[in-house]
Amino acid sequence: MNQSARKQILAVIAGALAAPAFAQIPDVVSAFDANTRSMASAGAFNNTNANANSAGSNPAGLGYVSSAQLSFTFRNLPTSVQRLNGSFQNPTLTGDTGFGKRAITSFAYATPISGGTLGFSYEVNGFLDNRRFGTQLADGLVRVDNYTERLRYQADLFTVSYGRSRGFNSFGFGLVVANAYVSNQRNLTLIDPNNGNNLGNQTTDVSGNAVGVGAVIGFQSTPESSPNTTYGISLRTPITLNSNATTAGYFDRIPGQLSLGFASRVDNRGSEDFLVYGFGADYFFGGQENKVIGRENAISLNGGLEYTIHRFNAQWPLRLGFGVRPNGGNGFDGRNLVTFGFGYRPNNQKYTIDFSLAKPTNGGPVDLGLGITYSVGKSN
Amino acid sequence: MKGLKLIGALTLLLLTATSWAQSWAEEYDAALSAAARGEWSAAREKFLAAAALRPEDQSEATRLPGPVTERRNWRNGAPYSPNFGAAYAAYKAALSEGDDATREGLLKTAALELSTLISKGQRSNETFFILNQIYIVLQDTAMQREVEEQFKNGEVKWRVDTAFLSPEESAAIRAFSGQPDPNQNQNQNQSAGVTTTDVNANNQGGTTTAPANPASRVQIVPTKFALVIGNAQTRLSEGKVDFAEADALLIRDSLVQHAGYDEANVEVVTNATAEQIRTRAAALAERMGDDATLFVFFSGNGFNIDGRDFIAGVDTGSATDTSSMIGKVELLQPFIRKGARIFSFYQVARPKINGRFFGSEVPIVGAISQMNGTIEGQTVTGIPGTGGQVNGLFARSIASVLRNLRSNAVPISEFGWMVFNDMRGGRVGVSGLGGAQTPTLPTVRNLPAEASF
Repeated sequence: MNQSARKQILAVIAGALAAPAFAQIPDVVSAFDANTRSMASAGAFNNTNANANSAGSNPAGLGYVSSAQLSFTFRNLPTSVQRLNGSFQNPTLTGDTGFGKRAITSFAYATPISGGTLGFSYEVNGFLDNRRFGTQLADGLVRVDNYTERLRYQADLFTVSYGRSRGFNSFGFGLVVANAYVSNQRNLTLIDPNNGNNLGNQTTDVSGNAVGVGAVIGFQSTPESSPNTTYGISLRTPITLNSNATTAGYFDRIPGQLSLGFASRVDNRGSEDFLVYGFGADYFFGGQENKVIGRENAISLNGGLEYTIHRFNAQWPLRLGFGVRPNGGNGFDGRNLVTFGFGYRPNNQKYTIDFSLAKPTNGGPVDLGLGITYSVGKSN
Repeated sequence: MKGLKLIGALTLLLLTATSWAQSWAEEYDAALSAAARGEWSAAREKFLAAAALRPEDQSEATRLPGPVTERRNWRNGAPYSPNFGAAYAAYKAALSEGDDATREGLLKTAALELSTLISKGQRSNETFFILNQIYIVLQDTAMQREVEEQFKNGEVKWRVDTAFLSPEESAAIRAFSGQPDPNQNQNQNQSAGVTTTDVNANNQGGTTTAPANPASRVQIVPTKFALVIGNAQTRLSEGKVDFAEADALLIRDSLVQHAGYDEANVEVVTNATAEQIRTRAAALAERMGDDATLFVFFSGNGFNIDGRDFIAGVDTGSATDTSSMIGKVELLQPFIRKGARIFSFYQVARPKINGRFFGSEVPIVGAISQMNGTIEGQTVTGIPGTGGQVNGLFARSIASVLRNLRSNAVPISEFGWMVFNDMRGGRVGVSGLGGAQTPTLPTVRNLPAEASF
């Protein structure tokens, strides 16, 4: 092989390591709705809720949790597939998204303690499972055949939080431990286009877990002068990952998140039915653009409403939402969502069932989620 | 690291922020706990402490601070009633107070506080009921009448916290206000119709349908006895109480079915002479133990002669012939000697004769309550019920209230008020005749106001 060809081979390999030069991976790396109630209203009430899930989203909400409760969500983790045609370095792409595997993406437990409420939360913070295929991809002196690549990422956040209310305000803080898993498996064959000779196969298999620690703080207020309105704000620090020598080039820091939320309630005077509508904004910052899974600063916007009907000895919350989710890094595509969900809360029972679905406006299958919340023990 | 430092600083700042504490809720909870333990002085103190922090009672639910997404009500929407609670606690403390002056002071304080609540528009069934109880204990009939008038003149819509009321009081208030008892058996008036034979004082057999479904009866208390007398027959030229015998049977059935009396402990005497009544009473007293409760009901003719009340026998031909009558105190004497707690009810016309009327005599010795079916100077009235059976208004109301209460521990004060209201206002399952007949409220001697039969 001449030197020029060798250089081309190296360029292909380097190209395979570079960040994808296209924007068709729907981005759920940062703005991922892990719990079903959040999912149904596009995350609009994440900062103004007061339930066990507040341990991770806004610990201030824990200050109003007056009885022990646990909840979990079972939902899909969407995948994507990209097919390359033409040039390997600058391919023409066609893609699909998939429903993906199902998993418990959120688990939370909160219990009142003296002076406040302690909460524990596990949630999937971000997810990526992208497969790429292509063959006979020309690139100068060489041709790439039988190219397959699978890039996976999942960040799980474990948060222990404490929230405390004082009248119309509540405050909370927590410690966040992140576990991030990155995996990249790639196979390709280099062919001399002139004679069809196999110039070599390349296989890459990189994976690893990384751990990092961060913090979260939050504040909620339902002003006495405006009792039907709640404001919330929370801040989670960026989390730098450690012990990830093999995968640091892919992903090394979970972006921080500054979130604002607003919710307002309208009671139906003639019945117990009521409407809550809310808006939220999430600013993701502190990520690293120069990684394979790069993260730029980005803002997500969420709007949702929840109308609760009291019938048949139960409460039936109906939820709608819309989430504006721009891409958070090079090679990703935004994933705006229209969401819907409903819940079932029988009166005088300890459990609540929530169901949600989210439809990406760019196309692709609907995300589905099922959540259960259960009250345990007596109120404080 | 910078982010962690920032968060640490913010945490410290917010933790040291001044707080708005729900200490009124803590004081109120402490009051409820004290009330549950029967520590009424402590309960009053805590209710007043809660009122100092949050002054006004509130009928509606108290919304707790919190996000609009998860609205919370204090104590599941219970009313906030520290002022009512404080007054009620004073009333309860008074009932167990030994010193007369202190007791009276507490009662008057409670009455004043409850009256203040009513004047502020906080008109609840509970407030009126307790206020009336206070005036019963104070034996202030004028104020009782005033409370009754206030009660009738205006809507009663205010809700108070009832968590600290006794079950008997709650039941009495429900019946008094016409509210359904959530625990009431809907089929309580049905019986299997087993026929038994009841022998009256003249050994004349009669049959009646006794309650025959033991499963629907209130649990029997073996120390409860009853002497039920109905003299429909008389040799008097006027004032015959035609329904007296029917009343006796109605009262018997009500006691057995709804008030926890064993049939074997209920002595029914109908159309009897004074001697027969005397004999049956003595026999009943003989069967009683030392710590018994006695329910006495008499329907028939009675007179007050020289300050003493007399019950007429069927052979009484004159209103002054005491030889054919039995004195009221004499009738109760065997039971007084046994130390029984006596609850007596007289459905007797009370015309003034020579300036006197039946029911004037209040026994001094013995633990006795006494209630008359009509006020001084008035007669007694019977009305037909379903099936055409005529019963006296007083007997009907007694039966109706017992049926609604369904308790083997009927507090005399509440019971008296309920019968009064039933006869006057027709609230408790009976379409009363309003002003046709007005009973007196129980006069209690040597018995606590909360005594029960």
